[in-house]
Amino acid sequence: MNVLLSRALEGFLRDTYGVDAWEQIVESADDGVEFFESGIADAADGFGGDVADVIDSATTVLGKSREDIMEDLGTYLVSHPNLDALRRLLRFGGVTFPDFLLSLDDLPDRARLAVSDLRLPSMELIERAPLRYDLMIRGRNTEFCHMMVGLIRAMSDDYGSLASIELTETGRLSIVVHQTEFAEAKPFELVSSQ
Amino acid sequence: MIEDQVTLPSGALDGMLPMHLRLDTDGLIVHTGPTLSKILDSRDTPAANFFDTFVLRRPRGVATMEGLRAKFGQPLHFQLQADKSVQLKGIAFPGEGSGDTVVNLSFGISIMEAVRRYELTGDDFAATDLAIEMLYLVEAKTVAMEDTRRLNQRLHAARATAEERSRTDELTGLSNRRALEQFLSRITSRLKPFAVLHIDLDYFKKVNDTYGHAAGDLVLRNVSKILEGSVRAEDLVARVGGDEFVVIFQSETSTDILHDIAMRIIAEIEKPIPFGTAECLISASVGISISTQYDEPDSDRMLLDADAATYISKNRGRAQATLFDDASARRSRLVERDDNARN
Repeated sequence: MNVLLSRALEGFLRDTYGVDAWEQIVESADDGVEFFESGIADAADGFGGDVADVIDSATTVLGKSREDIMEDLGTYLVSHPNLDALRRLLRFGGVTFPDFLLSLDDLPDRARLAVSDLRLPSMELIERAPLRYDLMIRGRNTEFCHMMVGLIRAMSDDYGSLASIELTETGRLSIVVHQTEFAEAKPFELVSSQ
Repeated sequence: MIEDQVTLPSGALDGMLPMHLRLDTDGLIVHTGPTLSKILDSRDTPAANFFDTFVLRRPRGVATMEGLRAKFGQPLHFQLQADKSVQLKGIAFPGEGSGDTVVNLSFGISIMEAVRRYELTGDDFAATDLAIEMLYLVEAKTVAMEDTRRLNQRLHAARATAEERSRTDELTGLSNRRALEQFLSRITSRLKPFAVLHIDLDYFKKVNDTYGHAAGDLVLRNVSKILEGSVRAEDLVARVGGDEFVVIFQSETSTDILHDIAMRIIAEIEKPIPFGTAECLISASVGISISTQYDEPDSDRMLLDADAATYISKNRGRAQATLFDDASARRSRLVERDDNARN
């Protein structure tokens, strides 16, 4: 997990705040992050180790809260042109945004199918009422939950849906879909034209 | 044995098998599932007779309803009559009415092509169909592979740089002792003759002590330029100590030529090097060994002998080149030992 995560985090900070800011973040983080950009740092750490150090350092350098940084990272993963591949993979989850939400249960398995050592916390979508859901995320990982808020919000935009997503408590995201066809969805063909 | 009959509304079959079709006794297509309709319509072929629309590729030679009925339950491979590049897998079973036939089709390995051509979406596949998962997997694996490839390239480049760095003298950019040893083991294994020039700078310590390390570094860089300018592409120049250099000449064994080269190098090195308002003045002593001097040339031995010859040059008053020969080297060592004993 850490390999992809550390690279995603670096890409996000570089693309969003610029190379200078990124270098400043690395510099003010502990010295253990020198292997960060090679993507081969402590492969099993998840949000610990170097990733945690870099997030901590980013909060100081950028003057932003951890929650905001993780949410923005989630949004970046789906909406930045550099990561269109990831957006596409997520769109395979379903034809409509509610279909996509239902596919989140399978997300850890899908991720592992693509990259065998990618372990995501298991998730369960509970439909409280039509178009009102709770996404239960196991593992009490606050960073991951905040990242998922940003990611799901960006996916609702991608599908052209209007939805509100909130972290009500650690491990529980409330998702309310107000309108499924609110704006035009971003195009998605099953087979990439590239 | 009479099989159980199951009756399904047509819509249920469309939902479960969106690429099925039903044929009457004469082979006329009486119904197509929604996804198959999309494909056939987009080809502008009025769905009429089954065999006008599809070619059975395997098993071959089946072009009548009677032939098709004989293959009920067996794996079938079709092509679209109108577009031979679209491959379909299929299976046929007797339908509900007497003489009716149901054929279900799916894309085989040509699914990527078909999805692109007919602009199929997730809705066009049955909820139980693994086609979407397969497309997802193909794409995910491609992305992952591409990522791995890029990481590999980066690591490879980093390794090449590290390797290069480990073989290079940082200050002058010349080869270091490690690279020299690798070079020598390569050329000795080829059994080609070669010569070793060992070059020891004279008065270098004085420059360092008088003008500082910046001047010393300038002098060393200047010497390395002179040496590199004196060799051909197949030769090697290495810095093997603070003010010691080794030059390997491949296939050059003439003592006269080597001596000339050495004297020219010394003359170049003796040219004053401006440093600020001052001038750095140094010289060099050179020792030479040639592989043809030995019955069995050993590069380690030759390096030591060239080094020993350098000392003879120094003892003789510096700024000269000496070809190694056993006798004089032994004498010189004796002199040195006497000197040491006296001091």
